[in-house]
Amino acid sequence: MADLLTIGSNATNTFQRAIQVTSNNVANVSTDGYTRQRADITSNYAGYLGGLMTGGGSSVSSVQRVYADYIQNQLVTANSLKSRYDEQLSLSKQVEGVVSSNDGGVQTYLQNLFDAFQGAANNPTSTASRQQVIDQSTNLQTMLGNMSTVLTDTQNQTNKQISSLTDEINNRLDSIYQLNKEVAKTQTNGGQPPNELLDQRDQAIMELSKFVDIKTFPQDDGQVSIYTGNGKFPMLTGNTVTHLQAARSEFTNENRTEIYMDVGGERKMVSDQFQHGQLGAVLDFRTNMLDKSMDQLGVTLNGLVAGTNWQHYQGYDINGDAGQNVFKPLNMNALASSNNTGPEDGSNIAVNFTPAITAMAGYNGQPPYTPATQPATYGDKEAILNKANSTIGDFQAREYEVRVNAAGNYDVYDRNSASSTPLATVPFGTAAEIDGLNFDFTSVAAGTVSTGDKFLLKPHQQILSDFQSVLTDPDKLATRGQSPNDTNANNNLLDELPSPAAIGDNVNMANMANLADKKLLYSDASGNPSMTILDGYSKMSSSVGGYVQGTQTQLTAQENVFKQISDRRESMSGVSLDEEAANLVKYQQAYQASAQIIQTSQSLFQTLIGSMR
Amino acid sequence: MRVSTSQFYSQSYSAIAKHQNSVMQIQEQISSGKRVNRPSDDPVATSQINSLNKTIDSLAQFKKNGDYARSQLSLEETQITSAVDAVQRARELSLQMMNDTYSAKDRQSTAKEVGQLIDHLSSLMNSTNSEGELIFAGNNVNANEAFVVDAANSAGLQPGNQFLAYIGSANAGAAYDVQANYGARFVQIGFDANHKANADDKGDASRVRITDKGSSVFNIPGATSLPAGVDPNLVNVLVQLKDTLDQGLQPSAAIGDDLQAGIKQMAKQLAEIGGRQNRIDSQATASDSYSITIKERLSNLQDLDMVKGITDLTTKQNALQAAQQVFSKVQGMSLFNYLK
Repeated sequence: MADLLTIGSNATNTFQRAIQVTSNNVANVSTDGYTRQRADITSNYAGYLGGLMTGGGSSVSSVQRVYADYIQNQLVTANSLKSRYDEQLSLSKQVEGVVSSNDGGVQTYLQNLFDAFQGAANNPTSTASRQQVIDQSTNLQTMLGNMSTVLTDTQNQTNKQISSLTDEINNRLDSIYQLNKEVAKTQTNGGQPPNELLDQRDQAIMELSKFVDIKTFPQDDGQVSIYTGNGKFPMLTGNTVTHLQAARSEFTNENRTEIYMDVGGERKMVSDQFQHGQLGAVLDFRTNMLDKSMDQLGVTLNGLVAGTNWQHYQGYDINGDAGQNVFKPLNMNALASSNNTGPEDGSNIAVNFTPAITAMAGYNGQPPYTPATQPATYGDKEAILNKANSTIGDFQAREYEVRVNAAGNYDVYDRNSASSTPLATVPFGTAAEIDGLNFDFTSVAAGTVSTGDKFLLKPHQQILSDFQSVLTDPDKLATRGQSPNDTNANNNLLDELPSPAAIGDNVNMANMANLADKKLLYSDASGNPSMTILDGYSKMSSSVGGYVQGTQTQLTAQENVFKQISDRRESMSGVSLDEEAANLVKYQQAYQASAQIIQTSQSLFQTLIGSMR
Repeated sequence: MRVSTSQFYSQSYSAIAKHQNSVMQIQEQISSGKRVNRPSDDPVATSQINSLNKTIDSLAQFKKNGDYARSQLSLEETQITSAVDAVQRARELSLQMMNDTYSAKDRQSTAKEVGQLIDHLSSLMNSTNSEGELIFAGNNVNANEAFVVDAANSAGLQPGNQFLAYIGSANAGAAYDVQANYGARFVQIGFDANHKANADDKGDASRVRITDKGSSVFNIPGATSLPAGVDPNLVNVLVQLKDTLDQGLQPSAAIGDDLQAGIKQMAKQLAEIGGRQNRIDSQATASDSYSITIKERLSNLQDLDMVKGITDLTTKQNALQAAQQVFSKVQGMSLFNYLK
């Protein structure tokens, strides 16, 4: 049973508490992740007073956060997406500027080289125009050398970023783990919600979502479980924290950091499982932008190297000797996986450009030609060139993974394709042409590879760092072509022996200049090349632009989504100073009134005492 | 809807940031004058821009090639014109000396002038361009001479007189090279349909020939004045004329006819060279207008419409200013201001 004095003192307590909550809200108006709190004021148990039901005053039953679980979950997801595209945009813009700037990029240097070919075709005996060709080749080499350095730096940078993001994620997981424990402890100790702890945990989860995509599941004991990889991989469940591990890929010399996780007691590579957050951004950028643009640029350069060299083989230099290499031809070895059980380290597996010409008519040896290896007739030689050119058209912007199968043969896979069927299977001890490139396994000794061994080959990235202009003597530039002398006068030069034209001839150089407009790359289904070397560059440039533009569009969209959801959260859980001002006034007045109740009670009592005097 | 205090601030800030981004983008476009500054600004236009740039560059290179070809051809033209003048004079002398009124002595002294003409003509026929390449030796541009002394056939001549032979003719002896009879240097002045130059190319519309064989310029078709086996070139007819005059004899009418035929042959060659020059000129004109069309297309693709750019800038600028003003108003709105 409550008397006036009790009601009054309860009420002052209540409103003091309410003012405290209000003040706390005001004090946290700009605290990140703070959820406004509300004092739940309830009326006390009523009792009989003189046969009448009267109220028992009021009290604060609990201090609650004004909070909605579903909004917080949406916010976490939106934050992951937004951070991903934000990070992805800044990374991809950086590469866009390097590989495909519209002015002064690779394309300018390629064009300058072809212009130098034209100059040498105009004036084939002039040392100055020949030197110009060599100078422009060297310029292209320097340009690509610089670019390759920047791209390698970018690869290193993504490696570092993956490692440091992994550390950040692990730290956040640890702190959420601690918060989980404390929340559970408070939850078991008493009924009141640990508002500040919950806010801190929500904030830690928000921060985690900036780095990686997560799904959270609240547990009965107040703890929160966290899963990543579209809900597939547990990072935090009950008492277990599963840390991410950043480590070198299985191809140790590849200079590539991957992410590993212990899933079901087994260490698994999970780099391809992350969709969003900054980690998702770095991984997506690496696969779909950095690697892809390097591979595509590599196809263009491999096309240039092979196309120029083979046309050059057709001609003859100042001294009448057959043309040699203008650029260093592609020749690379494989990287072996560290999990391999066989001793083969990949150095006996080679990839190079060797068109299948050995069985062709008139074949006497691989170019560059010597007098002994020149094909039987000029016609045969032209046919061999055509074969080489059509082989260039088979190049694909791929990376290759070789796996030794149960039969001891080599299955060659497209590394970035999920398909489980190999592109081709090369029998042990042989070589085969795949995508226009010669995969040579002939040097691998018996017993040095075992089933399941893996090897990695990135021929199109290799050419970026290996691109080298090897023709240094202007006299060695093969400007002249086949002699136009029809010795058997049958109006057909194709049956003539290969022999040089007179020194003033420019046919071969004119044909090298023609490479600027000749379609060499990316053959269609019927085997007709669809792109020139410069088109190949444009293709790369467009796909880089497309990636950046797509990211930009996604970012704008995700920023809007995030803003909308965070507005909803703010609208529900954010502190409004005006509201708090009103509450302050309201509770202050109520407090004053409650104090008046005590005063009234006292004066009633005095009146009663006074009447007895 | 309930509005929290931080929403005011985040709203104002995100509006300001958004407008600042737009202003920056327009600033870049206006200062570079280009709408497409990097592939991501318009990936589809990028590959068109690249290919248009390539075409413009090729056209410029073809024009340079054309200029080079024209300079070579006008050099050849000048040499042939001088040769025509020399042969013309020789023909006049030959006709004059056929006249009975001249004595053997007169003819012998005229032979001196013919001797000078022979030196002049043979030096024209062996002339070189600025690179030291022989002009009239086909592709054998670095041979010593295009027309060499034909000692074997010169035995019957007066002392000091020698027949010459083109190096592509078997009469040239040690200097003989069959290659001098074939091939020609072609310079590309337009886009080639099949992107291929052949060893025995006769040239197509995209290429213009800039070298000629000495035999096709200076040989006289059906020459009758020369002894059998002698290379039928103009200078040899002059040698024959001098040899006749040296002996004090009347030159035969065949000499005059052959010289006339030679002049005709050279005139034909000149007309052909003129034709090639015309082709270069018309190709250059066509390239120019093509290039203008392409540049216009390129400009449409990548350049910024300045008027639009400036208008956009002003619009965005106003928006930014408005957002900033709103912020300054909103931040003063608080109920606490009235609780005194």
